[in-house]
Amino acid sequence: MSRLNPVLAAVLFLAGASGCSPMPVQATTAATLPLSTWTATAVPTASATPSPQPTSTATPEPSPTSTSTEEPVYTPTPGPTPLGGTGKALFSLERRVDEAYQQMGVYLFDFSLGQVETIAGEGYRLQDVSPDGRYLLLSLGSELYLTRQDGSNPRLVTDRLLPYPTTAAVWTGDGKNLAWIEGTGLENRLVRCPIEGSLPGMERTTEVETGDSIPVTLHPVPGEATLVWEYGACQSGVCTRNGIRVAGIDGTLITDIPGAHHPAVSPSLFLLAYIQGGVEPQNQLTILSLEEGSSAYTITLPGNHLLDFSWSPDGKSLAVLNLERSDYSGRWFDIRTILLQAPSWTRKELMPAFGLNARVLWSPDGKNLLLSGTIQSDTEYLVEMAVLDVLRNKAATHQVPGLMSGEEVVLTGGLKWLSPYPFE
Amino acid sequence: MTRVVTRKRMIGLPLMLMAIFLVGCTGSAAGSAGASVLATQVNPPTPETGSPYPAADPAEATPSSMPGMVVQLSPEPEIVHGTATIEPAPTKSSEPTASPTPDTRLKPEEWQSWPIIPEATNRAREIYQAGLALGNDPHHFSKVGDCQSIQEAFMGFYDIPTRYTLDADRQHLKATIDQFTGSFLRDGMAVHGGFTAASPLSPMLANPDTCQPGETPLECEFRVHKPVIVFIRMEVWWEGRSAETYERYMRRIIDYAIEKGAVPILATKADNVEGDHEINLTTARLAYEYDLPLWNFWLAAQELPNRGLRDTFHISYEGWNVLSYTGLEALDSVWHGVQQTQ
Repeated sequence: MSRLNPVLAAVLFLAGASGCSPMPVQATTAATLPLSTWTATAVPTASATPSPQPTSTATPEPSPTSTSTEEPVYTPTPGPTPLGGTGKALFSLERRVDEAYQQMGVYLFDFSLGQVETIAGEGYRLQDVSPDGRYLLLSLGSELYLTRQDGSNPRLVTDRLLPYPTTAAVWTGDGKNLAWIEGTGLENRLVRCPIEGSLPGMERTTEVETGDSIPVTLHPVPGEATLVWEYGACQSGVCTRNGIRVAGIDGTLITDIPGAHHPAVSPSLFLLAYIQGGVEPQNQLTILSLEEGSSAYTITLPGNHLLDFSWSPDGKSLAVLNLERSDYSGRWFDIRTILLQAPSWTRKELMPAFGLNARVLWSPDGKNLLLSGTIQSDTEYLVEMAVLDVLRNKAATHQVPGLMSGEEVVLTGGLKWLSPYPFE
Repeated sequence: MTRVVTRKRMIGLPLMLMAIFLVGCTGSAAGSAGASVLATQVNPPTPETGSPYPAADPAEATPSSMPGMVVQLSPEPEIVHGTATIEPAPTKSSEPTASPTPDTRLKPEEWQSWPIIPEATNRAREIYQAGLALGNDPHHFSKVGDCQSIQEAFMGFYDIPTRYTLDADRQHLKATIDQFTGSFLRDGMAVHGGFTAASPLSPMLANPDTCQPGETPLECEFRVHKPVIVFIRMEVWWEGRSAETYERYMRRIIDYAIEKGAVPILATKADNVEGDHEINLTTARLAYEYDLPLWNFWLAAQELPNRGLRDTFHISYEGWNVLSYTGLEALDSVWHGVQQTQ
């Protein structure tokens, strides 16, 4: 399975501890990322014994694209992710077992076929997708890999990644750098590694100045060479978040917002949306222009628990999920899907979202929203996704086949809407 | 596999959890505005602007109001000590039935004669020590319960020094109040109106602002508060609920609390909605089997008008005082007891 070029391996080895890939031997091991495909009838169930390989009846043959001898030399494609919704979502799943999150792998879901394809097996988590959609960043514990979109040709980037169920690695929006959080939870540091025109691991990493903030989660910034992270501390499997910091790629501070969380930066307008903590109920969304001298704008939304939000590709609309929950009984009612449109932030209500860990994501063509959540039947938890046509306010729902978890809660981790696949 | 949906969807919930809300703690439909309705119904205008509690005048309480805050001005100590003559005999083993010492404890079937205020058992001491070793906060206790455990109804005023007084012979309780300051006026993540024994175990009822994805209210409460003692009082009843179901979920809650090193204090309830006191009997059986403290509030309520109830389920205004006071005494007794060497 290993397709690591020997010459490249030697170079990686020489790059040694000072490079992005301090342990080149691991790169060889990494090339065994499991690859398989399945349909709804050949999928693992809750009773399946956990295996380091994805449980599937399909023979784990290399996918057609993985037979190429081409190394994943990354060259950024100018511009944002190519437009055109594809009906395919890339996501990772995690199962909550004994109060910890077990990574169940990274999958590609084709909505039209109702099929799930394994990109990487148990233990892997989706961190980010390159701006042109061709490459992935996947984590396996403290190891970070760069792979092609189908999971092939994995290359170890670092083995010091923050090993928590969080987004600890991103591509910068200009596609020229990888950034990730190194550490074990309490003494983390943020580093970046130029990637343009070369393999990661060939360049030296640079530590990004984070001041007195300990980064715990990174957030991608579309189109910009900007870093956004939440700071706090990670301990006993849980990261607490105490604020948001925005900085240039060299660490130059742009803004620091103590107490805030859930940052999302718009693709073109350089607007930062976030939730200010310590305010009850948590239904106030703040939008701040990152241009100098701007003041924050706060929008109070119906509902009392802001769950997730996503900027449209043109940066002019913000889709927000806001849960209506009874403070008295704890009962969950609707998860409202609200569309806010700049510049006046007029509000439009769409079909409600659903489930635990509800997520929303704009399609690359700006026409649809991908909604995902974990719903509970009488016997099990399962992940459901819906593609919501924003204009018509109609949704097609899809139960992700075969990824049910029995009594254990299964959740989506990373979630991305892919550009056309296979890409070429 | 794929279906087009054009109508508003509902969040999927199991039948079990749907049943939770058929009869809520309020006895009426519990809506999303429940909390604010509660506040306006219970708290009439008070002379103390900004205070979360009404004045301590029972006349201000309306019969239809939800359990409101009653200021503990002068507890009735004679109620507290009950009529029991035999104290549960602590055993040296975590398995009570395996103790070589004759088990002189009252049997679960005699639960109505169990003392109101429990003492710490040897099992409780073991759990407490394990909890300290796990890093639990010796200044924290938690509540797991329904509307009869919310801060306005249960002990919340002990975190507001101007809202209660202790009689001269009850001053020893001040040390317990001081020890657990901050835990009284707090619902935590595992107390909500309408909660049944199944509710704290459902991630679908957790607060998403505080709790991790997929985390249950019970797990969330223990993670954020790290209690050394936990009151477990699940009293809501609906038609068709069985004691077996109650017991099954209670075991999971108790097991979890023990695993996390928090001493469970179980409690009997004042009502008998089920008709045969089966829930209280089950609770006593669990306390007996696990060798845990049982706070016999049912017994304390018997001397109150209408046995401490204002309807068939809700504790009366007078009952709240006794509930909070005996709860404090139970906490005091168990907390002091678990610190003693075996």
